[in-house]
Amino acid sequence: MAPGAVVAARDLTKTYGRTRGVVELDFEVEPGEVFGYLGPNGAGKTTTIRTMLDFISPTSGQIEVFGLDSRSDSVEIHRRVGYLPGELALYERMTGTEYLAHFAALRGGVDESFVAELVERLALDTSVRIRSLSHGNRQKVGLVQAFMHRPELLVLDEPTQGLDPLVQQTFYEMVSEVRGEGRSVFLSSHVMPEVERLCDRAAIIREGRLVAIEDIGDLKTRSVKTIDLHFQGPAPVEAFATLPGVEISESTRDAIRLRVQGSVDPVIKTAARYEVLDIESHEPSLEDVFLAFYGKGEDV
Amino acid sequence: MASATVLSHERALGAVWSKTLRDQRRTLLWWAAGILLVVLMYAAFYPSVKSNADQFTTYMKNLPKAVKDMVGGTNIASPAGYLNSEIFSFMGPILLLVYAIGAGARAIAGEEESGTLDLLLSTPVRRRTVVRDKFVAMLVGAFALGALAWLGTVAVAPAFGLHVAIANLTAAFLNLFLVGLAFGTIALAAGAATGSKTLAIGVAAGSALVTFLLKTFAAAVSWLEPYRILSPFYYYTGHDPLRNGFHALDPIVLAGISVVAIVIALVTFEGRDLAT
Repeated sequence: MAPGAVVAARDLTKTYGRTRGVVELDFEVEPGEVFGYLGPNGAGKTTTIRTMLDFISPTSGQIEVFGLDSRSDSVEIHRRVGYLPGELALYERMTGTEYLAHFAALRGGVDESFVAELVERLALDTSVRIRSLSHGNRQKVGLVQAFMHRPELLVLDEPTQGLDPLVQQTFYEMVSEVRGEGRSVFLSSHVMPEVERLCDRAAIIREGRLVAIEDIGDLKTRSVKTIDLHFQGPAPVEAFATLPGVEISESTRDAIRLRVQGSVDPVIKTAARYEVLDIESHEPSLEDVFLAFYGKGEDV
Repeated sequence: MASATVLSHERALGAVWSKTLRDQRRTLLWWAAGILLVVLMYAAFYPSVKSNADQFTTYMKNLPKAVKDMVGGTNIASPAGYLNSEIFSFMGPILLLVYAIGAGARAIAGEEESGTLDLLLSTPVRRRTVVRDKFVAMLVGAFALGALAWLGTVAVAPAFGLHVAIANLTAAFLNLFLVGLAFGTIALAAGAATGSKTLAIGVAAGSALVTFLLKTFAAAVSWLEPYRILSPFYYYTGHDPLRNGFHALDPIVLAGISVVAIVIALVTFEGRDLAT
């Protein structure tokens, strides 16, 4: 592996029984980067993470964290990693305080003032039993638990599930701070905008295989956005048909749906010549991202 | 913030077993109350049983031998016979086994099924440490129940005329604790190996039932008799500790079952894939 890679998967394959896991994965996460791991549900994101943490063992190939083998050095890896599972299960009968104290103890003690700071930033009530917490509040407990020992690597599996937008914002800041301190983040997601917003690079995984590793900038320029324009009067379809990187996917009498790759500037400039009643921009779906890479969405 | 003071009072060493025991504190209290109640109740009935001893003895004499052995021998009017038949033949082992098998099945498989094992094992705690700590918690719980029942009997029984030497009571309750622990550890091992709580309970309860019946029928069916040594229950009451006192082989074999089971748990759990 390259010197200093934080995570390095080498020909990593995991199959269980008849279900597909992951196949021949090769990627590296560099120190100090936020690495997105993007793919639809069931693509193998969680399987990759579970091999990293030695919950499951590779069928073939290997995965190293900090240059340590996931199998033989799992305890040392665990010491230096903070983990938020995708399906978070906490001890229901404990309060938030008890839970965090327990995990602090399992880690041999943590900086208590930092825990207090995280709890306060996320506006988490730790005096309540976990069983009576909402999904979003449980997720906060999971986040504090993952961040509290200032790990060198955070492994976050779909971290913003169930978080309200305000808390998501706080979470984004926490991730930026981690990067600012030179620590690394491995973030799995099935939501393109989240990865765009947080990550430096992203691997795209589909049906257990890596299909690309891209800088986020490239991903953005290559990804296809969908824009709906509603006009006062008949839609000027011809005016948009010839624009570079623009494809008309649907049109009605007074509305057009455009698929735009790269900059939306020509679309806006053109639209400005007409009376626009409404404009709607849709977040690129994963299918759109795959479309950008393969020219077809299904069954890549 | 409240948590600031709490974070340092627990340390990695023993964090898992102390949490496991703390989780059980309410359950254990109920078990303790139940066991004490059983001991008290049976002790209190003894005087009236003793006064009807003749009828009982005649009644017992007419029962088939297997049934007699199942209820702990014929002479239920004697203190040892009475305790054997009322506490040690059925209620005692049932209570201890149900507690221990439950705790053993929850230890690994329970956490795995509820999904909490993932985060526990994402910390720098070894799998074998988790198995060991869960085992110790179960051992402490089973020992506490056994010790409490022993204490209750020692304290209360003489008041109702149940005079059995303390050494003999100690030997009997030691075996009771150890037989409970043995099946609890079997449940823990089956759960650690497979991740299934249902299977863990099934294996432990099933093997308890089969070996209990083996021990019982081996006393009456001659061709079965040589096989009685395969039943943990043979080592539990086979040498009648209430009458004969401490018999070193029994606790050694019973503890040996737990040792073998815990080794199986440690080995199988170490490298296996966790369920999602």
